[in-house]
Amino acid sequence: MSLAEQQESPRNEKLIEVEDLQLYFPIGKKGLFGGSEMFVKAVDSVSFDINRGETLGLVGESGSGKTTVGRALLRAYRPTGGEATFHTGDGPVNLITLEGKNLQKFRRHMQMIFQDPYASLNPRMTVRDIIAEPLEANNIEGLSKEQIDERVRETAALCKLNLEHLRRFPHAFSGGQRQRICIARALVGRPEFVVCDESVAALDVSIQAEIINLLQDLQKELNITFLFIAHDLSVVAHISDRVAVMYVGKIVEIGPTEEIFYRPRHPYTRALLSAVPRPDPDAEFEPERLTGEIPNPANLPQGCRFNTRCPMVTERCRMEEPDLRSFGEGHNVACHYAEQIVERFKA
Amino acid sequence: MSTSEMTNETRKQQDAVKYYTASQWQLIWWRFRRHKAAMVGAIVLLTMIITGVFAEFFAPYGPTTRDSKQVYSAPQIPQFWDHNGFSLRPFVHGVTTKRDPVTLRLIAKPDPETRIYLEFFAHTGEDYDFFGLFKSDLRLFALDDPKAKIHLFGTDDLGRDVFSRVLYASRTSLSVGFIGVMLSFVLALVIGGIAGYYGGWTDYTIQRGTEIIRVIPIIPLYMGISAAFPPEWTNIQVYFAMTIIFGFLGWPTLARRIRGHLLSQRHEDYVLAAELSGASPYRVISKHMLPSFTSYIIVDLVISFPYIILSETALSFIGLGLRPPSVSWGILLQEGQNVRAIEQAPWLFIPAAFVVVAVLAFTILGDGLRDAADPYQVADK
Amino acid sequence: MMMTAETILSFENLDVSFKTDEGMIKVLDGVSFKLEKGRTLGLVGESGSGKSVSTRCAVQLNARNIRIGAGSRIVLTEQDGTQTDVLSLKPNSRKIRDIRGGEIGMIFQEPMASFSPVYTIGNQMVEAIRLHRDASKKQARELAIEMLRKVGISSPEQRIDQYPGELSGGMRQRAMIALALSTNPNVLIADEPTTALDVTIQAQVLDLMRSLQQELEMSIIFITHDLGVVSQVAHDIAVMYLGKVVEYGSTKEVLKNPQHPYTQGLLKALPNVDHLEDRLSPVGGDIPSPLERPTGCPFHTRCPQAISGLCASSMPAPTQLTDKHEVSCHLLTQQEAAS
Repeated sequence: MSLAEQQESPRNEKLIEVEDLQLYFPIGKKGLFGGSEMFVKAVDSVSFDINRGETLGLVGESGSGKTTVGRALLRAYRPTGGEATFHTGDGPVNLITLEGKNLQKFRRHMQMIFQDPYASLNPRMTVRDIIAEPLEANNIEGLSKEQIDERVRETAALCKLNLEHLRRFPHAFSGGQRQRICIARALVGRPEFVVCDESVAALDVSIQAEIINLLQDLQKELNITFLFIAHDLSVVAHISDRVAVMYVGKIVEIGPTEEIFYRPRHPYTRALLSAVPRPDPDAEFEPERLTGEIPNPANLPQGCRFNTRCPMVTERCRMEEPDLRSFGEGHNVACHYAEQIVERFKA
Repeated sequence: MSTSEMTNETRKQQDAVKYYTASQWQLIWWRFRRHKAAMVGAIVLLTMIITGVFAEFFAPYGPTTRDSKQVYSAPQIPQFWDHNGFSLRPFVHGVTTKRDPVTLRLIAKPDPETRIYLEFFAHTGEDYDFFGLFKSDLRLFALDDPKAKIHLFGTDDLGRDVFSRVLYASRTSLSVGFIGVMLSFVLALVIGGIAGYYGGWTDYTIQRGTEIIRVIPIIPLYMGISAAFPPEWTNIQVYFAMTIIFGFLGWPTLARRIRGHLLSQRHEDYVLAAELSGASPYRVISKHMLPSFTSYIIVDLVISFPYIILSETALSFIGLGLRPPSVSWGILLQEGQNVRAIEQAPWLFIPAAFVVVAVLAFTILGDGLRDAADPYQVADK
Repeated sequence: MMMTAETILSFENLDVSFKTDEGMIKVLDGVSFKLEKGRTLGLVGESGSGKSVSTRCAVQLNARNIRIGAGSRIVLTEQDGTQTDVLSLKPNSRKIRDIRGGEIGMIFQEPMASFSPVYTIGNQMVEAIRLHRDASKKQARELAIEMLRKVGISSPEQRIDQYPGELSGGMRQRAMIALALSTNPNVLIADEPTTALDVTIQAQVLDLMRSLQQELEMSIIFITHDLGVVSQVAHDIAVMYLGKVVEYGSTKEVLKNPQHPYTQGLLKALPNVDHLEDRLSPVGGDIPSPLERPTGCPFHTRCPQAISGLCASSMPAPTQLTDKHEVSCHLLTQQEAAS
């Protein structure tokens, strides 16, 4: 497929479909001799689609399971249940059942950009070797060393790295430049899908903006699909086409960015938004008071998992777990009282 | 002024480029170099190893060559100066041996009037066989009078040259340490590697097994095993048996360290990044994990050296390890273990200084290496 | 220098370097700012700006390889009115230990840095209180419970006997604030106290700090890299870049009417929840490594308005714009000269 054709591909063509994805981590057994095994439900039946060429933002606080979702899709972890289908050019592939050599080979379709630009680069390899690793690890295309060098240089240039620096080691670089190296490594194999796991969280503000712009430019140029995981709502708002909000292993609200940020329908989304301090001394900072803390995922409350902190909790919320319900334009909310919230927000 | 500033500037840039393109080993070396004590330790050890390996060349006499005229003779120190004036060539005074009329013991007495000069790179006429590779009689130094002998550290009860014996003993003791460490390293690498990479119940079983070995008190065990050596074994056989025992008992500590390194590295982001790049487990281990821990492993090896050397010394000292006519530091010390030696020939304890210095040097070297082993700690942040 | 309210802690011409293997690294270059009674001063800056180092000097908590310039002073006005130059005190002297944790309380990004994991929270608070205040064990414990209640920890009578590890991140942060406040300090230094927290928890902690300040009339130095946070808690702001205060003034002045190109750049670079579509405008270039500190104005390597030949060679003197707004930039000194 040529670049022009790729860019013309319709925006609502699905790249990844996730259905009831589950990832439970065992945390030992109840009772001394076996008995029932206990789990932390890090990801608890999560469903969503990602369209080709779009950026889906995934936000949530610590313990929400957002990082686990990303890593489960990349098969850094093996999901314990559910379906995840990846529509490559050669037809759909079931991500959950891929194993061994097949999985190693499939990895060129998907990549990850890490949070910590220090820990994610092997300090003992030159920048050239780091970037070339996805090509050399599994040389499916059968490239020669010269061709690999050429690809590395091309990608490094795209990421605005100085080509003379390719034979340097990571210790020569600052955080922002290191993150460019991470991006180059992720993109050198021209993957269709890239998970950005808090990829700008560790960077200074003045550098962060540059990396965000770079990611957006590269996305357009190479037609990449992003899953952008972050806790910083303003960054997610800026970069995403659609946003999913997670709370303790579940998606509580998902929809187009504008819908989520201007017409949130879940009380948790509202609370999150109100808690973002704006750099404007005139803006009244009145965060919605959420009582208590995030529940332990090994010991979830009955009913809606937000009921321990929700300002508008009712008896029903303590009994019945709400499903995601559609409110048009792909805006789905898991709250029994989603209708009322929009009314309240307007007032 | 501007040109000097310019060259200064370009030199700074070149330095920076050199630093930025420096590999892990260069960075480790640069850091290690700054550690003065460790550098001294390294030089001392290197000297010991070289003189030990080439003992035939550095020692003026063989380890068992006797000088019946000079029993228990005191150390002779080469001089440039005596009451007869200055000489550019170092010399020692000749020795005359007389029998004490009362105790009938031979007493070696230096004769301040005779000078015997030292000759360097001397052909002594006494042939040695260098590891069966070649025969030669070239030695670093000897006296130019073939009938006279020089004893830097004195002689023992049989008139053997303590200096030569110490050099040969260094070879034995260091090589026991080296082979023992290598053996335990191979075992530790396999066992610790399996435990660390697979984790789970494999790790659990191996860990418990390791603990069982670790709780056995070492000295009684050594004593038990070496007492079981058949007495008809030759010294070579005993030597190898001992290194194997040291190797087999030394691995648990090392295996734990290797397991620890592996476990901590498995959770590094860059290892995950390699896996996500499609690298096979073999490639992940060999290309991404191993290079970063070789430096730690070297540190661990250096640190475990002294334990084996001390074990050998202790065993031989109590008479359960190597036996004469082999020479090791332990044997030399054992020979000094009598009243007469303490009273009349304190130089027989010079080998003890070698043990102390060697152990100290290994420890200091290990310390310096440990500080340098992770050159990215500071450079990173 | 601007003068309005009573100054309680004044940093004067702070020059600080660290002696390292690579040579002397300059981290603070003539830093001056003042903390006024009952107000919050926000210290804003990115990595390498020296914001933490400067405040740590006030309690002598820096690493041993620190070298402080001869002309540097940090003057603390104590509750009884006496003035002390903290830098002139010997490290580990009785006086500095009294100030540290007594006159000046500190909270950090990572609460586990303040608590030992092997003692209960109560034990540690009682010890801190009795170190700085004349109180019996019983009185100290009551005071500790009172403080825990004040920071919004429910059932403090039970919580006080728990170990730090048993509390959640937000609770630990509250407990640390309680620990710092239990000795009734005049000055509180908060070093990125909310950076490690989730936004909803951060909002709670910020709320708490604001109300506590009003109640206790404390003076706070709030160190952060987050302009959003600082705009919500600080009365005054000092923007730091590579060991220099580049802009200093009331929060409103600095954020609404930024005059230094760096402050302007920072504010423009921030993604904003309220404007989704705009492309971000980054501050170009990279933060120079501390080993390669630029000459002249440290920002000139990245400044879009740098004046060639001037900014690279000389450091601009501070220009007083209003009595609550001071900027160190050649653009302003030149304007001033022209008018």
